This record gives sequence, structure tokens and C-alpha cells, in this order.
Amino acid sequence: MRQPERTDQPAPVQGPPAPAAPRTPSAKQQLRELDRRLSVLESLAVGSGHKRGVMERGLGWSPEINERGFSLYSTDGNNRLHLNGGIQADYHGYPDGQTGHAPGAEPDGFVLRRLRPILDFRIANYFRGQIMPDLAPRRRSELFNAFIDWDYYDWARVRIGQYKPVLNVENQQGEFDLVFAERSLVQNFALRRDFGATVTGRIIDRHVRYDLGVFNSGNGAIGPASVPEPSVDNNKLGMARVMVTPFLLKGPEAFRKLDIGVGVLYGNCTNSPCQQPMMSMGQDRTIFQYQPTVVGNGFSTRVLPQMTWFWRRLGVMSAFVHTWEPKIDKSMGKAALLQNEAWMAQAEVSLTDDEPAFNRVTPRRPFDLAKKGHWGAWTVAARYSEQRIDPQAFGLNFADATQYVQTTKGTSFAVNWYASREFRYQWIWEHSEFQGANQTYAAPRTSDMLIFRFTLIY
Amino acid sequence: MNWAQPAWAVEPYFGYYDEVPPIDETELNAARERLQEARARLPHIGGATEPGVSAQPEPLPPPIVDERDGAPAIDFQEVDELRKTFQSLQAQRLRESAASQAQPTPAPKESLSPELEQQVQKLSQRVGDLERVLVGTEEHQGLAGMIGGYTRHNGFFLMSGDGDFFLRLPVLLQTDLRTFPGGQNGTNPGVMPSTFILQRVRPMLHFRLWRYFRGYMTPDFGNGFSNNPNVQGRVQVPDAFGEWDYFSLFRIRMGKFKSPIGLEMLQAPQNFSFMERSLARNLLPNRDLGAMVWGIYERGLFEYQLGVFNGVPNANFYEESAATGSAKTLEARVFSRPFVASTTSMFRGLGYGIGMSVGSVKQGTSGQDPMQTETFSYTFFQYNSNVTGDGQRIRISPQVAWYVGRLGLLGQYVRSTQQLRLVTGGQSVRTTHESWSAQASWFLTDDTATFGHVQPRYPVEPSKGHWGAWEIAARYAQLNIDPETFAYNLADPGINALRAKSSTVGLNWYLNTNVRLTTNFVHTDFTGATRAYHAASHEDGLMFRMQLTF
Repeated sequence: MRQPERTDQPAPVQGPPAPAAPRTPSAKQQLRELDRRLSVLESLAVGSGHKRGVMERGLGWSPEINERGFSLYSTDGNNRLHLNGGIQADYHGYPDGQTGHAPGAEPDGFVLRRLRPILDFRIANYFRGQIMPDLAPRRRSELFNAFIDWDYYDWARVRIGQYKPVLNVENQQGEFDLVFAERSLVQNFALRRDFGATVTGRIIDRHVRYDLGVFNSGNGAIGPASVPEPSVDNNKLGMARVMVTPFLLKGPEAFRKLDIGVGVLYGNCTNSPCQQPMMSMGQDRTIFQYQPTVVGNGFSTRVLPQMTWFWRRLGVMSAFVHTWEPKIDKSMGKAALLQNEAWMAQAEVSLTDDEPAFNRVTPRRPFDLAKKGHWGAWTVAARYSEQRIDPQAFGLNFADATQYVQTTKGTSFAVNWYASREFRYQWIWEHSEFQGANQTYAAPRTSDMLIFRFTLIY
Repeated sequence: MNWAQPAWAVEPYFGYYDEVPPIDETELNAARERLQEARARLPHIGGATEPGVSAQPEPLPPPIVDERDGAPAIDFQEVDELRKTFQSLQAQRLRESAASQAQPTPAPKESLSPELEQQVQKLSQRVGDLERVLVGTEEHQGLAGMIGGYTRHNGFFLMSGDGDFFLRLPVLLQTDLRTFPGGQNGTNPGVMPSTFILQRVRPMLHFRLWRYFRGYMTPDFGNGFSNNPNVQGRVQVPDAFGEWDYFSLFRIRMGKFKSPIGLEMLQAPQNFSFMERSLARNLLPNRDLGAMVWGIYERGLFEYQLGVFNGVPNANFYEESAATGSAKTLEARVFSRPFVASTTSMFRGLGYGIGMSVGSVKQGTSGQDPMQTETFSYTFFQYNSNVTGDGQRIRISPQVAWYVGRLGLLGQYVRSTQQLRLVTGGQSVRTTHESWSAQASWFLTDDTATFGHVQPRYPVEPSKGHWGAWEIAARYAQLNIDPETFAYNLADPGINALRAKSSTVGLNWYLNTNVRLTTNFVHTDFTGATRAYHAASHEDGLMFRMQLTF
């Protein structure tokens, strides 16, 4: 079959056919007819009476930050359904290969890191919810987010379900908005994703944000991976965080976007260590793991001071965590109060006339070869992070000193190209140095990893 | 009897329910009428030629078909055509707007000059093009024929202008806190610890193609509180079926869907007066793979279902539903609302009926999954692993419901008879288990009880003093195991109960049609068959739920 000719020229509009009758309507008649037809079109476009017109159509695409993606909505805006999604496809390379001084933990290869269809909805104006599975991990789908919000009052929003508690500012940032490929070593000691309930609010002219929450103390509650599980016992974890934006409305212009605060996690773990295996910053290597016989031995506390600061072309983020964790080896009966800590600091600088952001960077000039100077936004970023495990953990054989690391130092560099709000390419280098607790340590002492990442999010 | 009455014109009441309320045809019809009205007012769009009007638009080129992905392709050529026409209109408008600013049009006179006549012609063309974009033709609908958005009854949807093609995107999200005041030890065990859980997380797809072919499918990402290791933490597909519903009295459905026996089973989980179904669910099938014909006569005066299924075990959770043997199970149900036509009778909301199944269970399955309490936390009965089906299984379930004003009543009885034997041989035993439940609900506020979706008269709006709808509910249920089960050593009398009695009280707060908070307290007593029984004597569950659905 012949394919129809494709052209950028508009399709020619057929002219009026010859009138069947000899009588030609006068110009006045034609004008009246045109007026009538225009009225019909107006009612179609704008609507009339209780009938909605094309202009009130509740579907389409909106690029605005809170209305992003494809959406369906009621014309009063009280009910909205956003059909969003995100893909992160990586290439992971290990320059030293799989052997030698700094062996790669895995072979070089392409990795589908995240594949998330996202249903975001608002019902009756004040009720919001989200369902977000991830189809990428372990070749099976897992539910990551499913929660309901009641946000009638700005000073007390309620959230119930499964989601990311905002104990750590890094965790608060979306996976598709990270400056680097993965979060820092601090994440090894923070709540990742869990079932629970939270009250959040902004008070004192929005200068202060608070979060109060209670969560299951599942086996994998704390650590770098999203593995929410039901409680293994009746214990729960309590979380509180306060973040202050002191110069939000007044004060030095440069510090308007300075947030500073502290998060605290307090809870009991008895039937599990409440700790996932800890990972290096590239999440390619397990750097610390308790023996299977080690569990919690009472109430533990974690304190996380944290800050973010965004000013013109600069974005800075930092967090610190110190933990007090009573642990016991059930088989040996040995107990100790372990004190672990970690910290991170990162900075991102824009090379183009753009501003780094906690959420998604919106390039001033999205990539478009047809327009001069439209090269998207380019940024460079660097991060340093360190974690120290309590030496008692190895002294009491709570962890295998031959395999696992006492001190980890990680450095990251990234070049980010934000082609548009939705498309982004990253070139990231992760370097880690590992130090064992004693001379029996036999695992790698350094690790290098190159990550090329493509992100599509809408 | 109007056999040809189309299914979409019939409103099911408490008949055969899907997880979502039916599509509101009134809204679809209104949209369709709007388009027809516009077309009627524009006869030339349909092909009639009028002077000065662009006639039938050029036929669009055939769509480029790309079926590589196995999915219907989007007709980008048609989209491109609309886009180009639209751009042409915009460009033309801009040009003429600039020209009119430079040269003001003279005021019209009684006799028009040739130039003005020419302008009228051009204007006619522009109006014609606009009509083509907005209204389209019978073959190619314009923008006004592409409808989507949100309405109160249909939720979020996309549809063609004539309503023949329709896609609806419902969601059910239930997040629970389940606690067991008796703890995990002693004679009152909560087998699961107190925990937050996602019980149902269902993004659904409900669609209709060519008006009479309907499909429905949903994954469930929840399944949090199930003791079944095959279900917990895994994505399941409770429902996936296609249906031809040209005739309201003869609809044909195939796929995986609810078995049509129990009344409580057919109620959508977002509409329960309680958080979960009663003990009686343990003796009924949940979802099954099969084919069914069913129909509704006169808005529910009479309805029936008749289907053949793989024959899943009696289960309180949906399973894979793959056949374990060649034998199939025949299931049937009839239900009537004799006073449905009366607008004044207090019995208008009364319905009663009976469901039953006949089939055969053999080849390594007992046909009965472990029986659990209403909280899903404790298994009070299961056959020994060496028990297998050995012949006929019959289930029968009379049922009744009555909704009048603020009051809702629902009761059902289930009797399941099954031929069993030990895999090692021995005598074939016929066991008969039975269960019944009775429940009542009462709205404290001025709202109407229903088997379907509750619509609060005053949705929550604190600034207006509106606080939604409040309902209290109570239920009693009992399940009796056949004593022969223990006499023939088909189950361990030490850990399996002979009888379970469960009392549930609940408080429901419907904030609006979409959001609901529920609290249930469930107390269940267990009685053993002999003195050897040493498992739990009772279980207490205190559960809280926040539910969002649309």
C-alpha cells in the first residue's frame, strides 16, 4: 500500500463546493450563518450552562513541579491523578577489573537501577496518595511507596502507609534527584523505607518544619536498601526531626535557602539487629554485617544533625549520625553498647547559568540544537563521606573482622548534564578506602567504580 | 422480557459485584449527547454542503500500523493531521489579526462590496476548519470527542466521544495497624506481632472496547497480612477477566474472578461494614479461573450466575487458581430483590438467594486451605498433610441482606461437604463443615446504609462543621468442624479447633466517598474436639484502617 505523503505543510482545506441550487445566499445570510456556527463552536470550546467544553478538559500534560506529568483531573482541581514514571539505566565499570588491589565487586555491565511507574493522586482536595512499585530490583516487582496523606492543615499533615521517613535529609531527597548515583555512608545508619504513621507540619511562618513518626521495627528497617517488612516483634521505632529555615523571609539574601536541623530515632529491637548489611557508596560492596546471632538488646538511639544550603549556582548538603546501639550475641551471651558514626558533606556547582536544587533542577535553557545557547544545565559535584564502626563490634566478634570494614572513607565526583527537567545524564566516579579492625582483615582496601547514568523522570 | 436490553442500561444493586462500582452510564450518555447535539446543529459536518462552508474534510490517510509490541498502535498520523490543521488555523489567525489591525475592516453595509464578500468566504473557511478540529467527522472525532478527566461517579477516566471506548483508572489502598492485646504467648496468641501493614494496594484497569466488550484487571501489591507464604510480599492478580455484555440477561465472562457463591464474598472489600469478611469465608472459594454466564433482570428483581471453574480449595485468600486435576466445579447462584420496583416499600432493599457448587476434588489436595480468624493472624484448623480429596465436594450458601434507611443487615450460611481420605489409603470419609454469620450496621448520622459504596451526606469540611458519616456495626459468626474429621485422624485434635465463635464490633468514619477510617475489635473463642486440645482458647484483635479508594 502506498504510504501517504508526509509534509509539514498544512493539509489543504477544501473550498466550498458549487451550490446545488442556482440561488446564492446573500453575504448577509452568510454572515448570519457564520455567527450561528461560531456560537456553536464557542459553546463547544468554553461550554454552556452545566455542560463542559473542550477548554475544561481534564486531561493532558503539565510540566509544573506539583502538577507534573500526564494527568487526569476534575475541572475544579480537587481530584487529580498523575501518571508519572521514572527510569534510571546505568553502566557500572570497575577500572581495576575483578582481581588485584581494588577488585570490582561485580563484572562491568549495564544495570537497570530503577523502573518505577508512579500513581500520584489527590482526592477531595485534602487527601493525597501514592502507589509506586519498582519493577527493576531482582527481576521482580516490589512495592516501594503506598501511602495516604490528610493534609487539611499545613501545620499537621498526617501520613499513613509505607514510605520514606525523613529522618535523614538525604533520604528526603528523591531517588531521581540525587546529585550522585547513590546516597552516602550516612544512609547505612538511617531509616530507609518503612510502614508507619507520621505527623508533619510547618509552623512559625513556615520557618520550622517538624516530623513526628512511629514505624515498624522490621529486620531491615535501617540501612541502604528499600526492604520494608512487617514487624518481627511488637516493638516500634519513634522518629522526630526538626528543620529550621532561619532566614526564609528576613536576613541575608544568601541564606534564604539554608535549612538546618536535627533528627532523632529511638526504639527497641529485640528479635532482630534492625540493621541491613551496610554498603559502600557505589552500593556495590557489603562493607559491614552483623553475625546472624547478633540482635538488639534494648533501646537504641540515633542522632542526626543535618543541613542543606542553596545559593545561586551553589548547592551544599551535609549530615552526621551518631548511634548508641545495645547489641547482644545470643549464642555467646556477650553484650555491648556500640557507638557507630558517619558523616557526609557534598557540594554541587553549576557551570551554566542555572541553580542547583533539592528537588529537580530546571534548566533555564533546556537542550535544543535549534536554539542558540540551549545546552541544558551542566554541574560538577564532589562528596566526601566517612563511617566508623565501634571497635567492640569486632573485639566481641559481633562481625567478621576478616571480611568487614571498621573505617570506610568514600569520595565521589560527578558531572551532571540536565538536558531538561525530565532527561539527565551523569558521569560519576566513586572511590572508597577500607580499613579493617585488625591485621586479620583480608578484604580489599580500596575500590573504584565508574557509573554512567541516564535518568528519565516525569 | 426484554432480552435485548443492553447491559449498560442496567444498574446492579447487590448482585454480582466487581471490586469497583459500575461505570455511571448517565455521565457517558450526557457526553455522547453533547457531541450529537453539536453535530445536529452543524449538519454540514455530516456531509451536507452549504454555500460558503468547507464541506466534508478530506479523508485522513490510513494509519501507520506498528504492532511490534503486540499492543494497539497509536495512530500518530491522525494526531499529526489534527496538529497541522490546528497550526494552520493559528498561523492564519495571526496573519489576519495583524492585517486587521493595520487596515480596520469597514462597517458592514446593506450591499457588500466584492472585497467584503471575499472576506466572508475566507471567514467561512476558517470556521469550517475550526469545526473540523473541534467536532471532527463521524470517522474521525475532533477535540470535543476526546474526553477524559474526573467525575464523581466514574473517577478518573478516558473515553471516546461516543463512549464506546472507555478506560477507567480506579485505586484501592488500605493501610492497617493491627494489634493483639493478648500478645504472642500463652493461650491467647496473636501469631503475628502488632504491626503496620498494607493490606490491599490495587491500581486497577477497567475498560470497555466497542461498547459491549468489557475487561477488568488489577494487580495487588498489598497482601501484607496473609499467613500464606505464596501470597505475602508478592504481587498477585486477584482479578483479570474479559466479558461480552451485549445482553443484560446473558453476559459471558472468562478469566479469573470471584466465585459466585457467597454474598459476603461478592461485596467489594472497600464496602465492607468491617475490615475483613467473617469466618464463613473459610468454607467458600475466593477467586477462581473459569467461564460464567450471568444476568440481571429489571434492576435486580432477579439475577443469576452459572459458571464452570477449575475448583480452587475453600480459601480465605485468592490463589494461583491453576487446576490441580481435570475435574471441574460447577457453581451457580440465584438472587432476588422482590420489591426493587417499589419506590415506597421499606423492603425495597431486601434481597435473598442461594449459591451452590458441585465438583470433584482429587489428586493430592484436600480442597481446603488452612482456616484463619477474621484478623488473618491465627490458623485454627488445617487438615494433616497426608489428607487428600476423594470425590465429590458440594457447597451450599443461602443468603439474605436488607438495607433500609440507616440500617443494614446481612446474613449467610455456608455448608461445605467433602469426600476425603488419607493418601496412605484407608476409608473414604465424608466431612461436612458449616458456618454462618449475621451482621448489623447502623448510621449514627443521617446517612443511608448500602451494600455498595457509602456516600456521606455531608463530607468532612471542618470549616463548615461537616464531619462525614459515622456508622457502628456488630457481627457474630461461627464455624463448626465436622467431628468425624478428628475421629478419622484427618486433623490433629491437639492443635486444631472443633469450633470457632467470633464476635466483632466496628466503628466506621466515612470522611467522604473516598476516604474512610475503621476500627474493629474481634474476639474469637476456640473449642477443641477432645481434651487433647491445647492450642489457643481465644484471640483478641484490635485493628485500625485508613482506606482511600476512587
